[in-house]
Amino acid sequence: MLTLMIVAPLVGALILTLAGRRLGERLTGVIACLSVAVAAGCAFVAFFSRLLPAAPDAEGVRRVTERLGTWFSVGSFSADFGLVLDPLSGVMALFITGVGLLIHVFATGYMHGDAGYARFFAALNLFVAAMLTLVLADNLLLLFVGWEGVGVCSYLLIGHYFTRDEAADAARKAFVYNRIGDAGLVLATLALFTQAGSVSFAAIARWAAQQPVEALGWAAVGAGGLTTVGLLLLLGVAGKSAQIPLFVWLPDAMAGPTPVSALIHAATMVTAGVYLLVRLNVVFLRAPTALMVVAVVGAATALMAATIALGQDDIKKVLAYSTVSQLGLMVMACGAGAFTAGLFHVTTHAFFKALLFLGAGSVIHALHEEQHLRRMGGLRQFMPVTYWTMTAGWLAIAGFPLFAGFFSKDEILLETFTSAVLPGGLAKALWAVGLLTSFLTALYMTRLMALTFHGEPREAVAHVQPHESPPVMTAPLVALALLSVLGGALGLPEAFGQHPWMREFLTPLVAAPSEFAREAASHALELALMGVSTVVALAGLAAGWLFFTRRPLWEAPRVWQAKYWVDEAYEAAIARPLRLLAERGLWLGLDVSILDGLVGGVGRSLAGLGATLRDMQSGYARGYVVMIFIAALLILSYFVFGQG
Amino acid sequence: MLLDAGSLLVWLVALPLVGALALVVLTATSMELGRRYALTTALAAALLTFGLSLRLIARHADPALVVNAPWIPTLGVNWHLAADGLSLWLILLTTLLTPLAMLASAAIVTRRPAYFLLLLLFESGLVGVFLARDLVTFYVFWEVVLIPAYFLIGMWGGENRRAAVTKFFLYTVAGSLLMLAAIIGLYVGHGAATGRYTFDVETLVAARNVIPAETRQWCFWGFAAAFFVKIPLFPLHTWQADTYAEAPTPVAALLSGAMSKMGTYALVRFGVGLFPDIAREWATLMLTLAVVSILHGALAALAQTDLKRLLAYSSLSHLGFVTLGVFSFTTYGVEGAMFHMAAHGVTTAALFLLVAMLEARRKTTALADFGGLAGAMPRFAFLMVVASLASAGVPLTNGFIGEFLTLLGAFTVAPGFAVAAAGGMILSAVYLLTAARRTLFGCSASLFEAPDMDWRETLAVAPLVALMLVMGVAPQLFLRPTRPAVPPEAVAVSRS
Repeated sequence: MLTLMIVAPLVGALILTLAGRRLGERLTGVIACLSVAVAAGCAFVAFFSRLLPAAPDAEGVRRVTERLGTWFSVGSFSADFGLVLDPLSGVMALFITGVGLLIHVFATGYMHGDAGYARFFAALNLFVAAMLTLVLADNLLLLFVGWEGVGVCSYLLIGHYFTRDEAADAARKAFVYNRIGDAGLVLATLALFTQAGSVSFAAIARWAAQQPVEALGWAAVGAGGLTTVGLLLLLGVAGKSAQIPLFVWLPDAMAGPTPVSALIHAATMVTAGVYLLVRLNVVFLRAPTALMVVAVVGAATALMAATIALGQDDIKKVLAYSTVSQLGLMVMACGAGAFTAGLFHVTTHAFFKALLFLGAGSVIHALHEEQHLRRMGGLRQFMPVTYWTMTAGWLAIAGFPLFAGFFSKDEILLETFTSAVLPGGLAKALWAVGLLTSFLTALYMTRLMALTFHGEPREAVAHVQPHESPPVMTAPLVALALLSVLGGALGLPEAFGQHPWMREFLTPLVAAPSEFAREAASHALELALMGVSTVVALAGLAAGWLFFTRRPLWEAPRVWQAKYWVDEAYEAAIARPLRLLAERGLWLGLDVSILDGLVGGVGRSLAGLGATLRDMQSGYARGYVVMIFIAALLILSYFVFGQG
Repeated sequence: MLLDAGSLLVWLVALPLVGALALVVLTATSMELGRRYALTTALAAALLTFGLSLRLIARHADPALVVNAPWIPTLGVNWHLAADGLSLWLILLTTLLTPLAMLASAAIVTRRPAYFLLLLLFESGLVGVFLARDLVTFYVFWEVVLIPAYFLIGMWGGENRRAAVTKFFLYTVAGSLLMLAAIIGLYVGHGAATGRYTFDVETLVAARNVIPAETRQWCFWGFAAAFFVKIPLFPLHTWQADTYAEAPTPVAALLSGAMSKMGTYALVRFGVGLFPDIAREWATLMLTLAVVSILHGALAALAQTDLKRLLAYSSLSHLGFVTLGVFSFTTYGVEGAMFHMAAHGVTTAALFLLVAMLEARRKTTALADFGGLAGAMPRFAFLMVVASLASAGVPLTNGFIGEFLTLLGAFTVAPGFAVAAAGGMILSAVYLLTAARRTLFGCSASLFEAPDMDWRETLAVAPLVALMLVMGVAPQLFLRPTRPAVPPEAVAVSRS
């Protein structure tokens, strides 16, 4: 059944690739949605009728496993095609297939009339298969298959409109930045295998649990132990989940069709990094220095991206930076040891961010590809369903009480505040950063909603007659809106006298922070912190409302509009010097001038360079021959005469 | 007698040779007839190899697959051929790539079928190199390969072919002569010590310790020079980009796909087999050169403006991984290296053949002359993207397995080298996707109408692309037959 979950969308992708345009839009859409529906059905059945009734194994974990065979094995190394459905992969598989199905349905309407309709859905189906491989894999190597597989699909889908230069560039950029992270993940895999003797998650967790907790300090970073492994993994996380320093690809990835942004660059693929942190939580808990770096990177990313989001005028760019920021919060939670809180936010974020992106897609669709916020306005009256569903997403992400995001973000802030794995001062500081990020989140989301739906209709709206999107697009919006409102039920806080379902469900696979001697947060503290963050969220909403409905429209500081010039800095500090080194230094310098020069013949053969190089037309071949024969004679004579 | 297992090996070498000779007779006939005839011969050789491989896969070591007859008895030279798991994938690769390169040679303008004659001769020489177990036999085949390559490039190459082919010839001959000196050195050394003068590899391997240490040290470097030129390894690589760029593109596919494996194969069989102690002594230097090749090749590929040069430097980088694996002296590294040889052969040949198809349409291979091709040539774009991803080593393609295993081998002995080599993994994605970006995508002004691949072109590349996926999904099929043939001297770490 786990295999079928992956095979179904894979078969869908194959059919669509081979049949191509011959199927026509309707049949293509049906095949694409059906294959994901089968996967979703498998996920639900496997989860409710296989995983939940399963008896916990010796480690107290419920697992459903399927093993298809060995992928490759050499010496003592072996990588298997082995799948495991446990509480962690179960939660992921449910929302990947569920949200994935809704987005597929939405896309059948959104992509209507596109010349690459079949190609689009083939890649989208392949993506679902790869993403499920990533989360269901029972070992690091198979996870890497999914990990790079989703990267490839992301590459294909960002570049869907391949005749546009910006899309083609963004696709390549995304893959390259991901590759930097992937190299980190491969090295971490090698380091883990050489120490733990296996790449299977179960074996790694068993091994890591017996390792001592490494000392906090920079000495452990290069020691090759778990701290090194943790930091290498963090590099992989930074690539996939768009964290500092590798986050710059995600905003550019918005060049892809909007359903892709919703599915891949908001709800699922980009959360793979957080999933990896949660999956290898035992490793990280033995490496406090790595955890500290994870937490700081997450917090810094969250804050930085939130400020940039305030300065963007493209509706998708605002949402993209918002995603980077929210991913930062999840990574920060993991760094604070609150892995379950991180995963909780992954889930609720999948609901409301997919909703917000699809809503944005609905708006863009209605305005004939207009994405500029300053040209919108007043859309509320034209697109009531989009407006009301997006309002649910807006309140959820802003942390409005009782909406999904409220509970998950609150858990992150609480767990960070009371973190036992971070130094006390740092924990409080990171909590403050998280709180500030929450305020900014409410602010920029209110700005987005105000500029899009409220106020006077501006030029883009005035010129076209915007219509509400067809039901095939609005129905997924309604479903996601319901999930965004109710999704918090997965983790109601203890302070409400509730059992946080998700945390209990994931224990002991994912260590609950309390196991690590967290100071017993009293319910009073919990309620107090909740009060603070509620006030902050409401303040953000109110401030945004007052500020951004005014005219003239607010201009963000230049540094935010320009995204802190990070891309420019990378270009100047890394990309350009590297290109110069490659071209002038290594190729033309070392190879053509020095090496070829040394050997005696300047590369006259190099096309186009002949004119600039010395003309050695006569004699250089002879020079070679003479040298070679002298050398050969010397050596031969050594053997003939030198032996006696 | 004609069909016993041993003579099967002889036929493997002789079939293309006989075909080539027959082409000499046929020179007067039309080009098209010659092409068809050559293609048939090459396909027959491929089928023969395939049959033989099945036999080898079924039985790990087949003692029947040996020919050993006196050739020049007075000098102790034997006609000694044998096939085992090390040779297996390389002879298959050679006999598979030759007919595909012929299929992709439609644009080669030639009045007489000499082009195909030379391709068959080239094939025969390569197969001989991968089968020879006598140093003289080996040397003869090694040199035989050079002759058709020289004329193929010199007669059908690009504008600067003369300079390129001279450089290629001189580098290779320099290496070969040093190897010849080393072969004689071993022969004399062994004969002087034991009284038995022989060129037989197995004898020399078994008796390697009776040869004076100093002689062996010199001989190692003689072999190493020839192999490192052929692979090539930094800093002996500068002939490569010129040669590949000037060679007719289907020939470049064979040079990069099959000929470059002569060096890495011989390194495992002869370099490590005859001189395990010396090779290990110099392992740190070799690992360093391997990593420098990986990074230098990848960075230089990044700077190229011509697709063929880009692929040439990519080859340098990929074969650096093979060398890295070999000199890790681990099971992971050596088996990974053997796998990566076959994998790289398949992928690089496919990429060169794809470039040949662009060249046939536009008479150029400069990156700047292309762009936005995916619209007009979707099938081409699909195959090129898959081949690029395989070359970049995405999992479930053949490129990943070899890279991962060689990295694992290096990591277990010296993590620093693996960390540096992982940089090559990142850079390969950069240069390959840049090439794909600039040829297939974007709204370049040179967006042009071109016919998509026809059936003949598809037939030349699609099997290779399918093979990339098969090798990536089921690598065990390819790893397992090689395993028993890995020389015990080549691995220090667990061999289970």
